[in-house]
Amino acid sequence: MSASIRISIVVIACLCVSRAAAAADVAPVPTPAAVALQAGTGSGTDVRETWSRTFKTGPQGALELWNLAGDVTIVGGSGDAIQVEAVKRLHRGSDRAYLDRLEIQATESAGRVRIRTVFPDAKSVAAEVEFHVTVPAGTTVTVQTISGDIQVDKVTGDAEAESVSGDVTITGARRLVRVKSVSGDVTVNDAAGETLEANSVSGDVQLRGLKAKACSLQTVSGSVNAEGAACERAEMRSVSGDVDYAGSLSPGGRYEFKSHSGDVRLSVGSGTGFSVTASTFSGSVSSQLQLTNVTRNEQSRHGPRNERLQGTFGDGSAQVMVTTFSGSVVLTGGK
Amino acid sequence: MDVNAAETELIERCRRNEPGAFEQLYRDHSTRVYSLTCRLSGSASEGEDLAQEVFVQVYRKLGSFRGEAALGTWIYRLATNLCLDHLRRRRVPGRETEPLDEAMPPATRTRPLTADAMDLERAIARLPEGYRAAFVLHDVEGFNHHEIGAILGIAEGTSKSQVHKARLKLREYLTRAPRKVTEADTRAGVRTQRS
Amino acid sequence: MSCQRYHEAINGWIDGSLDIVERREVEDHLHACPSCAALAADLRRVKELAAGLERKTPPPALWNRIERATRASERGRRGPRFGPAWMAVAAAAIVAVAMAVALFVRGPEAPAVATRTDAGATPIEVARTVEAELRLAEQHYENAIAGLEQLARDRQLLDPDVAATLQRNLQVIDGAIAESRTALQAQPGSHPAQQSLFDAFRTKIALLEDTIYLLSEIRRNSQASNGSGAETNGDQSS
Repeated sequence: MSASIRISIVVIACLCVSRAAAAADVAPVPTPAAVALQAGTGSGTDVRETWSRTFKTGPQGALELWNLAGDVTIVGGSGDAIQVEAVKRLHRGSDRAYLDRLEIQATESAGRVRIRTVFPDAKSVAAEVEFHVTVPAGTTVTVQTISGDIQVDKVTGDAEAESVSGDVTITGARRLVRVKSVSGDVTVNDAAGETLEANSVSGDVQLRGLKAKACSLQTVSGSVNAEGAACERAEMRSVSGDVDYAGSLSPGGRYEFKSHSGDVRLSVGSGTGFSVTASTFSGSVSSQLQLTNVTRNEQSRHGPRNERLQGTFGDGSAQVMVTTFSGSVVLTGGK
Repeated sequence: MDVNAAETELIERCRRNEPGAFEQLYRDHSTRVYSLTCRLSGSASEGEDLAQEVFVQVYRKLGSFRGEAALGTWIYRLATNLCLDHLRRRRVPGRETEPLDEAMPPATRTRPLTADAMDLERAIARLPEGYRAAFVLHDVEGFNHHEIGAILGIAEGTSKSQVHKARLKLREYLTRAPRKVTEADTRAGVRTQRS
Repeated sequence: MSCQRYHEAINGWIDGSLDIVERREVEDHLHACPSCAALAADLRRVKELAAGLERKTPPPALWNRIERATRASERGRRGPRFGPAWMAVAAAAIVAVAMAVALFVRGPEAPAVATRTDAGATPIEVARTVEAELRLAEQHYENAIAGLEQLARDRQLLDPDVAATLQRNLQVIDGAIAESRTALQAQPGSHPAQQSLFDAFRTKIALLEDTIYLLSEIRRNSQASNGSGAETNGDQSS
């Protein structure tokens, strides 16, 4: 889990936004004078410029943000305008001219705000742009960064946040759709949604408190750690990492937990009954649950045992499937 | 607003590439399509891949949809054709598949059939594809033989006969397989269980 | 079997499609013939079960995959380089994966194989059949993966750290594939091993697809940032 939470805001500029419409809808806002602190090479303070804009979008507007480098924070609140504050920060020792050529493009059309940072040279990044955006809570938010952490708080509109190397943290969302990173961690707290996809490739995926129709939490080499997911369907997978779930299940829900070489540990609350099938090729399956209708199969006499355990807990209303290749499966909880 | 008008409006919105319109169309039809592709292909993962292909094709072909049938029927036909093409392509020469017209073994048992939905799902996955399509469309999805003829491009009488043969085959599968043996056990050759 | 000729009629009777004369004839026969009565009861049960089968909810990832494919297709009209090529390969990959899964999953379950086993085929024969099925399935997967890998190879758009992360994780998945394969060679009938191999293949393809999508997004945004007709609306900081 990352110690520092930097905010990355990604704004996707769409080429088809008509300039005329944008010009008509942008509310005039006094842009504060750029604050440029002098910096010689290698001396004290950063060179930075601030930038801000307000867009009167109403309570149900949309924000799309793409940022190459820099953290993004988006906070939902009351009001009917999207307020964007950005700080361009030049890397120490870099040429001041770079900052001048680093553009923040912002357009608005019919309540949809598109912000994009345009770096003079995408190959050599000598600055970053840090965004702090306040939006009406019901705004639809779509954020993408390449390198830059993303934090989205209390946004109740549809929300999507993706980073390549940044961490992505979502709190208090009500219609979360997609949260992804490649090498960063993905953390979702107290969220709700219809169908949620939360993925990382090498980072960890952590979820605390989710209410959704269906969710899919996946990583390749990171671990999946979830608590209290009230979903009708949930799929939690890793290839080499562990999968941990603690919490209760929904009646009639369907859950799948898989890892190839990582361990899968379920600690299920005593609330909902479920039927479970846990199988592994060469790992072990152990259960401390009070199960009925238990079937235990082991296949071969020589070599990996292909263990498989089936059983019912309580009224067996939810369905749980656990699969590993070489990881172990541990089932605990229940009473 | 009646169903047709609402549908026409949604199609128009999709054609204009209005944000959220195609997703709406997907939400309206995805469950039916996915159920169909899963059952016709016999597995959830193929079903998912095929469902993806169906909607991608719907997206591409929506421009040429003339409203000659209800949108759902049109999507269904697309889905069924995709599944059948997939099943046909998948048939590997040299691998035995059951001939369609083998004589049915006589009914010999008198105990009532104890089978549940899961058993039936597995049995459907074993049906030869001709039978499977007709059966799923008729007994699961509730189309009549005339509609199935239109979807599959066969005569009504053929549809009727395929559904009948499918039922007989399914009955055979369901009475032969003992209830508690699972797929994995069958594959792994496990015949004994210990609790 | 004289009852054979009633099978068609019994089906019609269950469907309520017989006229009154035919219906009477069938019902009379069912009263007299316990095995046909059993058949009718069974077929009715099959039909009831079928009618009661639940609709299956698609997994959440399905919409995301469709959305990406259609978004890419949309963009493809504006920029030929990444659009249709990507879609064509991805579409081919989908078909190849589905076929591979079919051969792979279907293999040991096919009635043909089961029959042979029932008839007392030796375990070696079964293993050979499963292995052959497996090899065919893997071929399809490998073709799909090769196609995607080619597209995903455009690494210059990616930061070297990110490219390294992706490479490393592809290797993790390849490791899982190799382990599963080895396991299956030793135990062709092992369901967990089959499942693991199949899952690992799908994970790899998903990662490749996501990488391609990511590259297309980066390319799209960096092309626009090179000043090719980008809208700026005059909002640069002073």
